[in-house]
This record gives sequence, C-alpha cells and structure tokens, in this order.
Amino acid sequence: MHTYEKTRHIPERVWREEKGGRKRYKYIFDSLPVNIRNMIQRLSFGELECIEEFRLKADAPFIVYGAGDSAYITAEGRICSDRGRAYIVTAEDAAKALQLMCDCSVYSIEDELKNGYITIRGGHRIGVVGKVVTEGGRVKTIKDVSGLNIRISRQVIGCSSNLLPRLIRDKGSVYNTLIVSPPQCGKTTLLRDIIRQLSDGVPSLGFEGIKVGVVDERSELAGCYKGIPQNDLGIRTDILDACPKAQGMMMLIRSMSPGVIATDELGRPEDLVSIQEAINAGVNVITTVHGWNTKDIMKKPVIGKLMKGGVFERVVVLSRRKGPGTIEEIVDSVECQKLSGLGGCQE
Amino acid sequence: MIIKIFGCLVIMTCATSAGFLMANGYKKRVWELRAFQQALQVLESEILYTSTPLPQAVDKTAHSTEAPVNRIFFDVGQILEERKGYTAGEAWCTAVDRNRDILSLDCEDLQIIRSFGKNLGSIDKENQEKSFKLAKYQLKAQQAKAEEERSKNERLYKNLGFLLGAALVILLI
Repeated sequence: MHTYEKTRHIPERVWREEKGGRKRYKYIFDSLPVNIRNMIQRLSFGELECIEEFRLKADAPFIVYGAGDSAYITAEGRICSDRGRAYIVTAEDAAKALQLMCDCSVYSIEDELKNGYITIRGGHRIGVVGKVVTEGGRVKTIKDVSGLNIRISRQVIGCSSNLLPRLIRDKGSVYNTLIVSPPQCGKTTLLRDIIRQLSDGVPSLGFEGIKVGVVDERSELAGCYKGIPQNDLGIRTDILDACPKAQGMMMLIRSMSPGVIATDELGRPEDLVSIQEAINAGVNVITTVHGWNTKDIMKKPVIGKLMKGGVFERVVVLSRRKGPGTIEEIVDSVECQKLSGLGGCQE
Repeated sequence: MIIKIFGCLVIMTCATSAGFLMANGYKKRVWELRAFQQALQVLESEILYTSTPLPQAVDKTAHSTEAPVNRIFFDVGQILEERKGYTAGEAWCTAVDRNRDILSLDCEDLQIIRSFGKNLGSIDKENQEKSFKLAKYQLKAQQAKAEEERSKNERLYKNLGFLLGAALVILLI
C-alpha cells in the first residue's frame, strides 16, 4: 500500500487538487466518531485514494482494504502492517459510528438495516452486522451493532469510454449487455459510467443520449440518499431507488418508456421473466452478474438460461489483473451464440 | 424625612418584588413542564410517524415550542447540524446543561429530561416510543407535583416578601 512521506515536496497545483479531492471524503469523515475521524484525517491524500474499505469491528484492529491488500491503522492515524500497533476499535466506536451515519436517527433507517446495509450521503455504502432481531421468521432490524464496513464509492468518470463503441448498436439503441466480474473488480463503477454516457450521449461516437431506466435495488449505482442520487448518472436517467429488480423493471417499462434498462447483480428467478418482458417490449438491457468468466456464468440457473436463450449480445468480463476494472474480454453476439451452444449467427 | 420615606419605599419594593420573583419560579416551572411535554409530543410524532431525521425533527419541534424550553431543541439541532461527531445523546446533554440556568426546572425534572435524551436517536422506533411514553409519564407526575407546590407556596412567598419588607421598615423606623 502507498506509504506517505511527510518530507515530500508537493507542488502548489497538486496540493490544491488534493484539497479538492479530500472534499469527496467529507461525508465519510462526518459519519465517524471524533477519535476515528482524526485518525483517518491524518492519512495522506494518496493513502485515502488507495483505500476501498474501512472496517470497524468491535474489539478488533481497525483494518483498511485497498488495491487487493489490507493494512492496519494506528491510533496516531498512520497506516502500518504490524497488527500489534493497530488501533483496537471499541463497541462504543461502532455504535457511535452507526448513529452518526444515519444523522442520529436509527429509527429512520430500520427498513434499510433489514437488508444489512445503509447508504450515506455521497453514495458510500455501509455494511452492518450485529444482533439480528427477527419477527415472524423475517429480519426486522439489527441491534447491538458489532461491525461496520465502509465501502468508499468512487465514480470514475470516463472509465467506460473504451468499451462504449462495442456496446452501441446504432444511433438510438445499444446491445443487450452483461458485465461479468468477480467481487471488487469494478463492475458497478463500470456500469455507472456506461449509464451516464448513454444517458448524456457520446458526441465522439455520434450517439445522442437515450432514456435510461435504472433499478437500483441496493442503492449502489446512484447512491441515493433520501431519494436524491449522489452519483451523476446522466440527464436522461430515471432511477427507482431500493426497488426490487423484477418489479422495478416492469414499473419502468410501463411508466417511463426507457430505451435501456440497467440493473446491478441479476440472479433471482423472477428477474428472468422481467428481462424477457423488457426484451419483448423492445427495451435493451444492461446488467451485471458475479462470476469469473463466461464458462462460470453458464452454470448459474438464471443467467445460464438467459445466455442459452441468446438474450445477451455482448458479454464483458472484468478482472483486477491490472487493477480494478481491467477488461479481460468482450464477447460479442456471434460468440455468445456459440457459448450458448446454439451455433450460428443471427445477425 | 423625605429621604426616610424614600428609603422605606425602596426597601418595600425590593422585598415585595423578591417575593414575587420567588413565587413566579413555581409558576414558571409548571408552565415549562407543560411546554416540555407538548414539545415531546411534537417530536414523537415527527419521529414515529414521519421518520424525520433527528436534526430536522428537533428543529421543527423548536419552532413549534415556546421559549425558553425551545432553546434546548434549537441547541440540539445546531450541534447535530455542525456534524462534529457528537451523537444525539451527547448533544442533548450539552444542550440541557447549557440551558439549565434559564429554565426554572428543578434537578429532578432535569434528570428525567437528561435520561430521556440518552437514548434519543440510537434505538429503533419501538423502543423510541417506549422512551417517549416513559418521559411523558414522568414529566406529568412532576407537573402534578409542581402544581401542588405552586398552590402551596405561590401566595406564601408573595405575602412573605411584602411582610418582610414591612417588618424591616418598622424596625428601621
């Protein structure tokens, strides 16, 4: 992990940029108790930029993850690899952090806690674990929070620019696309940028923007905080926040006449029907799925069926070989047909 | 002679107003307890029925509550809006301590208010409701007590002030 040299000379311009960049972390700082906030604020900008996750777990060292690596944070706010020097998070720290994350209104996030995570301002997602309270066999809420995982959301503007020419069919439509990636390889980030560019239009490709409907079941794409998107998803994008995917897709088709529907992490049986419904209605679909390669996803029940049906015309496989968001391969419709074992080419 | 009369008048006025002031404290306490219960009612509906985030909820409560009780709510809202890392419980305690001098509430009342604030914003709706219920119940009991004390002592202190002034004047003459 990047180490911070205090003596390094920083040019004025770089320093200004860093100051501006630090602002992006304001909402993370705001949502942490003072002692932990001070530790993180002492990290250099370079260090902050490398971090993907902060993990606060009661009675365990304060761990950060980033660039495929993990490290500890000391009470003095330095990154170190020696576990003995790490700051030990207390149960009180975790409880306080949760309160601060929800504006001191735990009562207002009960519904969100049911899913095990909350989204804070800035679109960052916080995973929550603790004692689960159930009612009638269903999770009601989480109390006595013991662990928090702060996942830093970064919008990488322009990260899909190289990919877009392969996804755009003609002036007004795109190919049905599936993004395949293992966790933490940037599939959501990529999808987010695809949505933004399709919605705003890509002048260099002569592509005028199209209406994009987004079903953001896990509030990760738009990072909505109280219904207002915290990420830029483009000017023609309609977002259904925290809506179940299958229902949301139908709602959007009926109400907002989208040209493309984008969702994250397909996989439930009911999604199958909705995707087919969308395709039948002439709406293109862009979605993502957890998986390692094209072979891997053929085994999955829902996605496998859709692949065999030849629904997806483009399959993009990601890895983090050269950092998150490395595009391993782009499989186009001809090969998709081959993959699905049907042979032949429809186009 | 004129100086004497003037002196007597000054003593009488001072003693009488001191008596009234003491008596007024009882009246104000009852009034503040009542205002506080109404404020809690507003806050409760903001929290339980509309799930308003606490900073806005206390601000709304402050606007619909009369001074000086609303100071506590204003201060809590302000502390939370600053986002300096204080939880609602801490903000509440600070606000109560900051305003205890302008309130006529006694230690017992303040203790109830403080312990209500401890859980504010850190528990789910169900428990929040219980916490409101308890605080309102306790404050109601305090109000009954305060009213009893008021009826007992208000006239007493008013009269006492005047009579002490008169006694002092007679002694001095």
